[in-house]
Amino acid sequence: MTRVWRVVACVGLLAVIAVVQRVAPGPAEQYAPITTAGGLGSQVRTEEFVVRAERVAFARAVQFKDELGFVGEPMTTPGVWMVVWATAAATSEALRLQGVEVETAEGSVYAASDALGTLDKVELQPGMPVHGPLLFEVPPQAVAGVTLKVFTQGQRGLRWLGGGTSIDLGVKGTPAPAPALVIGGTREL
Amino acid sequence: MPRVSPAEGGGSRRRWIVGAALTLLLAVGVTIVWRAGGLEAAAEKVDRIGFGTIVEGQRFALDVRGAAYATVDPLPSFGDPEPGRFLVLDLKVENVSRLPATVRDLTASLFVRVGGYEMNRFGDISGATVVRDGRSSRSQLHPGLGESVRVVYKVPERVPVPERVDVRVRDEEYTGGFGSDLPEWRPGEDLAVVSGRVRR
Repeated sequence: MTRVWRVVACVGLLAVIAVVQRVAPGPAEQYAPITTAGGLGSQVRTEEFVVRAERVAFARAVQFKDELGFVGEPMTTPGVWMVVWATAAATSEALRLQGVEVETAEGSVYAASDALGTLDKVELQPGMPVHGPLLFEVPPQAVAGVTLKVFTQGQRGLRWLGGGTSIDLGVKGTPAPAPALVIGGTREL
Repeated sequence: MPRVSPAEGGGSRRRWIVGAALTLLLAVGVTIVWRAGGLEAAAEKVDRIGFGTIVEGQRFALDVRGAAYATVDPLPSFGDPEPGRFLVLDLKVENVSRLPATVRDLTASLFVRVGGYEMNRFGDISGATVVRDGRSSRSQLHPGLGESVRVVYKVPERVPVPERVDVRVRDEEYTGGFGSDLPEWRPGEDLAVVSGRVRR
């Protein structure tokens, strides 16, 4: 009888090990950045920066307007442009928001556009908020429930266990994009 | 109560030790070989296909639309285009993964061979860009959004003017590796060799 119980105990322990291995977070989850959550219009603070996403708009093409009022050539996209107006400031040291992304409800990640003149290209100084657009190219059918992720590192491998934000942009359904949107650059507040 | 002689006891213990050591050795060996990918099935022979066929892997789906030889740089980085010997590849590319990518990530997976010479995936590239709106300054490949991409290689002087080109497409896998369990894009298997004529 004792031998039977030993075998049962071994099988039970093996089952427990299998379950623990299945439900335990993987390395990517264990080392994921530690994000602070927020919503559209709320100020989200991390150790290194403060950011507030204020407004979202969609367009088929965007044009930049410079400080002198000149409007650039339209930039198209195979998807739609998602423009997020936001304000950000560093907390203690000057920095750039190099890792700005939106993540869809299905888990696809879209890096901010490499177009110049957006908030993520500006060096932020401590306590000096800068307002400006963040630009994303996204498939229109995938934007419902997107969240804005902001990190100070562009490389995913350098973000492990770092700080960041996860801001629900409050987008519902498939957007009706404007044909074109003229956007200004960044400005200090 | 059964008695075991000292000689029998020592022999039994020795057999246990030898057995346990062999089992441990075998387990360590299998683990090392497994972690190094040695127990994976041998790669199958890679398909040879022509231009205009979509090759889909875990990161990109791409279609080599054509290749051309040029004597003036088609993607000058600054100022007037320089004369030289260039191979131009035009592709349709879609990022089929869930993560952002760049044209540089794409070109790192392409092994281009002309006239018996394999282009250096980094050193022989003179320009690589997304072509859209008549501009050639973008490099991002967003998930699910197809793009036209142009890659320009410098053809070394010792290589004859190319008449045909072979593009071996290697897959990538987003997974942990031998050195780190943290996932990143790592080289996968060859998907296909795309061959075609080089236009003049």
